[in-house]
Amino acid sequence: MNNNTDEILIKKALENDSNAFEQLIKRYQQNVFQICMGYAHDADDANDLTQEVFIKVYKNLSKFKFNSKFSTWIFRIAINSSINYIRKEKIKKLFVRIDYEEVDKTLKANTKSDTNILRAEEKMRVRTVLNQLSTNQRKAFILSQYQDFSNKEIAEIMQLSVKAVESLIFRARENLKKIVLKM
Amino acid sequence: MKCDSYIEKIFYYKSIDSLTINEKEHYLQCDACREKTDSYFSLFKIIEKEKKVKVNPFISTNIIAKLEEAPKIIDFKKAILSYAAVIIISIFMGGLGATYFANNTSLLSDNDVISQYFENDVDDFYVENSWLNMNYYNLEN
Repeated sequence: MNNNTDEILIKKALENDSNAFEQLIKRYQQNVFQICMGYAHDADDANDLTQEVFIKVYKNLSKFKFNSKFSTWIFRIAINSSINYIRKEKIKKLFVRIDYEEVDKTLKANTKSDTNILRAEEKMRVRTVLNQLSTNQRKAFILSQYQDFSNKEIAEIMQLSVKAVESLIFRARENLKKIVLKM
Repeated sequence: MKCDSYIEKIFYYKSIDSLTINEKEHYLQCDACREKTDSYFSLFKIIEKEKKVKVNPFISTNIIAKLEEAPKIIDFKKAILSYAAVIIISIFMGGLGATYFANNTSLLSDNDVISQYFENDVDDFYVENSWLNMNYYNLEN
Protein backbone atom coordinates (compact mmCIF):
# COMPACT_ATOMS: atom_id res chain seq x y z
CA MET A 1 0.00 0.00 0.00
CA ASN A 2 3.06 2.23 0.49
CA ASN A 3 3.49 2.67 -3.26
CA ASN A 4 -0.10 3.69 -3.85
CA THR A 5 -0.64 7.20 -5.15
CA ASP A 6 -2.52 9.75 -3.07
CA GLU A 7 -5.47 9.42 -5.43
CA ILE A 8 -5.79 5.65 -4.88
CA LEU A 9 -5.44 6.05 -1.11
CA ILE A 10 -8.07 8.82 -1.03
CA LYS A 11 -10.53 6.67 -2.99
CA LYS A 12 -9.91 3.75 -0.63
CA ALA A 13 -10.26 6.00 2.41
CA LEU A 14 -13.58 7.26 1.06
CA GLU A 15 -14.71 3.62 0.98
CA ASN A 16 -13.99 3.51 4.74
CA ASP A 17 -10.58 1.82 4.39
CA SER A 18 -8.87 3.09 7.56
CA ASN A 19 -5.53 1.56 6.52
CA ALA A 20 -5.50 3.77 3.43
CA PHE A 21 -6.18 6.88 5.50
CA GLU A 22 -3.47 5.86 7.96
CA GLN A 23 -1.04 5.69 5.04
CA LEU A 24 -2.01 9.20 4.00
CA ILE A 25 -1.44 10.41 7.57
CA LYS A 26 1.99 8.77 7.71
CA ARG A 27 2.91 10.34 4.38
CA TYR A 28 2.18 13.92 5.48
CA GLN A 29 2.31 13.91 9.31
CA GLN A 30 5.82 15.36 9.62
CA ASN A 31 5.16 18.18 7.13
CA VAL A 32 1.88 19.08 8.81
CA PHE A 33 3.54 18.92 12.23
CA GLN A 34 6.30 21.31 11.11
CA ILE A 35 3.79 23.83 9.79
CA CYS A 36 1.92 23.64 13.11
CA MET A 37 5.22 23.98 14.96
CA GLY A 38 5.89 27.17 12.99
CA TYR A 39 2.80 28.69 14.58
CA ALA A 40 2.60 26.98 17.98
CA HIS A 41 6.36 26.69 18.83
CA ASP A 42 5.45 23.90 21.22
CA ALA A 43 5.64 20.17 20.44
CA ASP A 44 2.55 19.20 22.47
CA ASP A 45 0.40 21.91 20.93
CA ALA A 46 1.75 21.09 17.46
CA ASN A 47 0.89 17.40 17.97
CA ASP A 48 -2.66 18.32 19.03
CA LEU A 49 -2.97 20.63 16.05
CA THR A 50 -1.69 17.91 13.70
CA GLN A 51 -4.39 15.55 14.98
CA GLU A 52 -7.01 18.24 14.49
CA VAL A 53 -5.81 18.82 10.93
CA PHE A 54 -6.06 15.16 9.92
CA ILE A 55 -9.51 14.82 11.49
CA LYS A 56 -10.62 17.84 9.43
CA VAL A 57 -9.03 16.28 6.35
CA TYR A 58 -10.95 13.04 6.94
CA LYS A 59 -14.26 14.83 7.48
CA ASN A 60 -13.83 16.86 4.29
CA LEU A 61 -12.21 14.18 2.14
CA SER A 62 -15.30 13.83 -0.06
CA LYS A 63 -15.01 17.55 -0.88
CA PHE A 64 -11.50 17.16 -2.31
CA LYS A 65 -11.99 17.31 -6.08
CA PHE A 66 -8.42 16.61 -7.24
CA ASN A 67 -8.18 20.12 -8.72
CA SER A 68 -4.91 20.61 -6.85
CA LYS A 69 -2.30 18.34 -5.28
CA PHE A 70 -3.54 16.56 -2.16
CA SER A 71 -0.47 17.79 -0.26
CA THR A 72 -1.27 21.41 -1.18
CA TRP A 73 -4.82 20.95 0.10
CA ILE A 74 -3.63 19.40 3.40
CA PHE A 75 -1.05 22.16 3.94
CA ARG A 76 -3.73 24.81 3.39
CA ILE A 77 -5.87 23.14 6.07
CA ALA A 78 -2.83 23.00 8.37
CA ILE A 79 -2.14 26.73 7.94
CA ASN A 80 -5.77 27.72 8.49
CA SER A 81 -6.08 25.48 11.56
CA SER A 82 -2.86 26.94 12.98
CA ILE A 83 -4.06 30.52 12.42
CA ASN A 84 -7.33 29.65 14.17
CA TYR A 85 -5.34 28.13 17.02
CA ILE A 86 -3.31 31.35 17.41
CA ARG A 87 -6.52 33.40 17.44
CA LYS A 88 -8.07 31.13 20.08
CA GLU A 89 -4.91 31.39 22.17
CA LYS A 90 -5.03 35.19 22.01
CA ILE A 91 -8.69 35.22 23.07
CA LYS A 92 -7.97 32.72 25.86
CA LYS A 93 -5.21 35.00 27.16
CA LEU A 94 -7.61 37.93 27.24
CA PHE A 95 -10.14 36.08 29.37
CA VAL A 96 -7.95 33.91 31.53
CA ARG A 97 -7.91 34.81 35.22
CA ILE A 98 -4.38 35.09 36.49
CA ASP A 99 -3.89 32.78 39.42
CA TYR A 100 -0.79 34.34 40.99
CA GLU A 101 -0.18 31.43 43.35
CA GLU A 102 -0.23 29.03 40.42
CA VAL A 103 2.14 31.26 38.44
CA ASP A 104 4.51 31.40 41.41
CA LYS A 105 4.46 27.60 41.74
CA THR A 106 5.11 27.15 38.03
CA LEU A 107 7.97 29.63 38.09
CA LYS A 108 9.54 27.86 41.06
CA ALA A 109 9.16 24.50 39.33
CA ASN A 110 10.61 25.87 36.11
CA THR A 111 13.62 27.48 37.75
CA LYS A 112 14.74 23.99 38.70
CA SER A 113 15.42 23.29 35.10
CA ASP A 114 17.59 25.72 33.15
CA THR A 115 16.74 24.08 29.86
CA ASN A 116 13.05 24.78 30.49
CA ILE A 117 13.79 28.48 30.96
CA LEU A 118 15.94 28.60 27.87
CA ARG A 119 13.30 26.79 25.86
CA ALA A 120 10.57 29.09 27.13
CA GLU A 121 12.67 32.16 26.32
CA GLU A 122 13.40 30.90 22.81
CA LYS A 123 9.73 30.14 22.28
CA MET A 124 8.76 33.60 23.46
CA ARG A 125 11.39 35.26 21.30
CA VAL A 126 10.51 33.51 18.05
CA ARG A 127 6.79 33.96 18.78
CA THR A 128 7.22 37.69 19.49
CA VAL A 129 9.19 38.23 16.31
CA LEU A 130 6.92 36.20 14.01
CA ASN A 131 3.75 37.67 15.56
CA GLN A 132 4.80 41.05 14.23
CA LEU A 133 4.65 39.89 10.63
CA SER A 134 1.43 40.20 8.66
CA THR A 135 -0.63 36.99 8.22
CA ASN A 136 0.53 36.42 4.66
CA GLN A 137 4.15 37.32 5.35
CA ARG A 138 4.11 34.89 8.25
CA LYS A 139 2.53 32.13 6.13
CA ALA A 140 5.15 32.56 3.40
CA PHE A 141 8.00 32.81 5.90
CA ILE A 142 6.94 29.67 7.83
CA LEU A 143 6.50 27.66 4.64
CA SER A 144 9.93 28.73 3.37
CA GLN A 145 11.78 28.32 6.68
CA TYR A 146 10.06 25.38 8.36
CA GLN A 147 9.33 23.40 5.21
CA ASP A 148 12.07 24.59 2.85
CA PHE A 149 9.44 24.88 0.14
CA SER A 150 10.30 26.63 -3.10
CA ASN A 151 8.53 29.87 -3.95
CA LYS A 152 6.54 27.97 -6.58
CA GLU A 153 5.27 25.46 -4.01
CA ILE A 154 4.41 28.27 -1.58
CA ALA A 155 2.58 30.08 -4.37
CA GLU A 156 0.48 26.95 -5.02
CA ILE A 157 -0.40 26.54 -1.34
CA MET A 158 -1.19 30.21 -0.84
CA GLN A 159 -2.93 30.48 -4.21
CA LEU A 160 -0.78 33.44 -5.19
CA SER A 161 1.66 34.21 -8.01
CA VAL A 162 5.35 33.35 -7.56
CA LYS A 163 6.15 37.08 -7.77
CA ALA A 164 3.73 37.81 -4.93
CA VAL A 165 5.38 35.12 -2.78
CA GLU A 166 8.85 36.49 -3.54
CA SER A 167 7.66 39.92 -2.49
CA LEU A 168 6.07 38.55 0.71
CA ILE A 169 9.27 36.75 1.74
CA PHE A 170 11.35 39.83 0.94
CA ARG A 171 9.09 42.05 3.02
CA ALA A 172 9.05 39.47 5.83
CA ARG A 173 12.86 39.58 5.95
CA GLU A 174 12.86 43.38 5.86
CA ASN A 175 10.43 43.44 8.77
CA LEU A 176 12.47 40.87 10.69
CA LYS A 177 15.50 43.11 10.20
CA LYS A 178 13.62 46.09 11.67
CA ILE A 179 12.31 44.01 14.59
CA VAL A 180 15.72 42.54 15.43
CA LEU A 181 17.43 45.94 15.19
CA LYS A 182 14.86 47.39 17.60
CA MET A 183 15.35 44.56 20.14
CA MET B 1 33.78 47.63 6.06
CA LYS B 2 31.13 50.08 7.29
CA CYS B 3 28.42 48.99 9.74
CA ASP B 4 25.51 50.03 7.46
CA SER B 5 26.64 47.99 4.49
CA TYR B 6 27.47 45.04 6.77
CA ILE B 7 24.01 45.09 8.42
CA GLU B 8 22.33 45.41 5.01
CA LYS B 9 24.03 42.20 3.86
CA ILE B 10 23.70 39.92 6.85
CA PHE B 11 19.91 39.97 6.70
CA TYR B 12 20.04 37.87 3.54
CA TYR B 13 21.94 35.08 5.30
CA LYS B 14 20.78 32.40 7.69
CA SER B 15 23.99 31.68 9.60
CA ILE B 16 27.45 33.01 10.38
CA ASP B 17 28.92 30.44 7.99
CA SER B 18 27.50 32.42 5.07
CA LEU B 19 29.55 35.57 5.89
CA THR B 20 32.36 36.56 3.54
CA ILE B 21 35.92 37.09 4.85
CA ASN B 22 35.43 40.88 5.04
CA GLU B 23 32.09 40.49 6.79
CA LYS B 24 33.57 38.01 9.26
CA GLU B 25 36.36 40.48 10.04
CA HIS B 26 33.82 43.21 10.70
CA TYR B 27 31.78 40.80 12.81
CA LEU B 28 34.78 40.11 15.04
CA GLN B 29 35.82 43.76 15.32
CA CYS B 30 32.47 45.57 15.85
CA ASP B 31 30.66 44.73 19.10
CA ALA B 32 27.37 46.41 18.12
CA CYS B 33 27.20 44.61 14.78
CA ARG B 34 28.16 41.31 16.40
CA GLU B 35 25.29 41.68 18.86
CA LYS B 36 22.81 42.40 16.07
CA THR B 37 24.15 39.55 13.96
CA ASP B 38 23.94 37.06 16.83
CA SER B 39 20.44 38.22 17.69
CA TYR B 40 19.29 37.81 14.09
CA PHE B 41 20.94 34.45 13.49
CA SER B 42 19.71 33.09 16.82
CA LEU B 43 16.21 33.35 15.40
CA PHE B 44 17.14 30.93 12.62
CA LYS B 45 18.89 28.70 15.12
CA ILE B 46 15.63 28.41 17.07
CA ILE B 47 13.76 27.69 13.85
CA GLU B 48 16.30 24.99 12.92
CA LYS B 49 15.87 23.47 16.38
CA GLU B 50 12.10 23.48 16.03
CA LYS B 51 12.36 21.90 12.59
CA LYS B 52 14.22 18.95 14.06
CA VAL B 53 11.42 18.09 16.49
CA LYS B 54 9.70 14.90 15.35
CA VAL B 55 5.99 14.32 15.36
CA ASN B 56 4.57 11.86 17.90
CA PRO B 57 5.23 8.45 16.25
CA PHE B 58 1.83 7.16 17.40
CA ILE B 59 -0.11 10.06 15.97
CA SER B 60 -1.57 8.09 13.05
CA THR B 61 -2.80 5.34 15.39
CA ASN B 62 -4.29 7.98 17.71
CA ILE B 63 -6.09 9.72 14.86
CA ILE B 64 -7.54 6.47 13.46
CA ALA B 65 -8.69 5.47 16.98
CA LYS B 66 -10.35 8.88 17.43
CA LEU B 67 -12.07 8.62 14.06
CA GLU B 68 -13.35 5.14 14.84
CA GLU B 69 -14.64 6.30 18.24
CA ALA B 70 -16.44 9.31 16.79
CA PRO B 71 -20.04 8.86 15.67
CA LYS B 72 -20.54 8.54 11.93
CA ILE B 73 -20.49 11.86 10.17
CA ILE B 74 -23.95 13.06 9.22
CA ASP B 75 -24.14 14.05 5.58
CA PHE B 76 -26.56 16.97 5.87
CA LYS B 77 -27.30 17.01 2.15
CA LYS B 78 -28.33 13.36 2.22
CA ALA B 79 -30.31 13.82 5.44
CA ILE B 80 -32.26 16.79 4.04
CA LEU B 81 -32.95 14.95 0.77
CA SER B 82 -34.18 11.85 2.57
CA TYR B 83 -36.48 13.92 4.84
CA ALA B 84 -37.85 15.75 1.79
CA ALA B 85 -38.44 12.43 0.03
CA VAL B 86 -40.37 11.08 3.04
CA ILE B 87 -42.55 14.22 3.19
CA ILE B 88 -43.28 14.13 -0.58
CA ILE B 89 -44.14 10.41 -0.46
CA SER B 90 -46.44 11.01 2.57
CA ILE B 91 -48.30 13.85 0.80
CA PHE B 92 -48.65 11.76 -2.37
CA MET B 93 -49.93 8.73 -0.44
CA GLY B 94 -52.39 10.95 1.46
CA GLY B 95 -53.77 12.38 -1.79
CA LEU B 96 -53.99 8.93 -3.34
CA GLY B 97 -55.83 7.57 -0.29
CA ALA B 98 -58.29 10.49 -0.27
CA THR B 99 -59.09 10.00 -3.96
CA TYR B 100 -59.63 6.29 -3.43
CA PHE B 101 -62.03 6.77 -0.52
CA ALA B 102 -63.93 9.53 -2.33
CA ASN B 103 -64.59 7.22 -5.27
CA ASN B 104 -65.28 4.02 -3.40
CA THR B 105 -67.33 4.96 -0.30
CA SER B 106 -71.18 5.03 -0.57
CA LEU B 107 -72.09 7.89 1.71
CA LEU B 108 -75.67 9.04 2.32
CA SER B 109 -76.20 11.97 -0.01
CA ASP B 110 -77.67 15.31 1.23
CA ASN B 111 -80.84 14.67 -0.77
CA ASP B 112 -81.45 11.44 1.06
CA VAL B 113 -81.24 13.13 4.45
CA ILE B 114 -83.47 16.05 3.47
CA SER B 115 -86.08 13.75 1.95
CA GLN B 116 -86.51 12.11 5.33
CA TYR B 117 -87.70 15.45 6.73
CA PHE B 118 -89.76 16.79 3.91
CA GLU B 119 -91.17 13.68 2.44
CA ASN B 120 -92.45 12.40 5.73
CA ASP B 121 -96.20 11.89 5.32
CA VAL B 122 -96.98 10.40 8.70
CA ASP B 123 -98.62 12.91 11.07
CA ASP B 124 -96.95 13.46 14.44
CA PHE B 125 -93.93 11.65 13.32
CA TYR B 126 -90.65 13.41 13.35
CA VAL B 127 -87.65 11.87 11.96
CA GLU B 128 -85.65 13.12 14.97
CA ASN B 129 -87.72 10.87 17.19
CA SER B 130 -86.80 8.00 15.04
CA TRP B 131 -83.16 8.87 15.33
CA LEU B 132 -83.22 9.61 19.04
CA ASN B 133 -85.49 6.87 20.12
CA MET B 134 -85.86 4.02 17.74
CA ASN B 135 -88.67 2.49 19.83
CA TYR B 136 -90.93 5.52 19.58
CA TYR B 137 -92.35 4.52 16.23
CA ASN B 138 -92.99 0.95 17.39
CA LEU B 139 -94.71 2.02 20.65
CA GLU B 140 -97.05 4.38 18.86
CA ASN B 141 -98.14 1.66 16.56
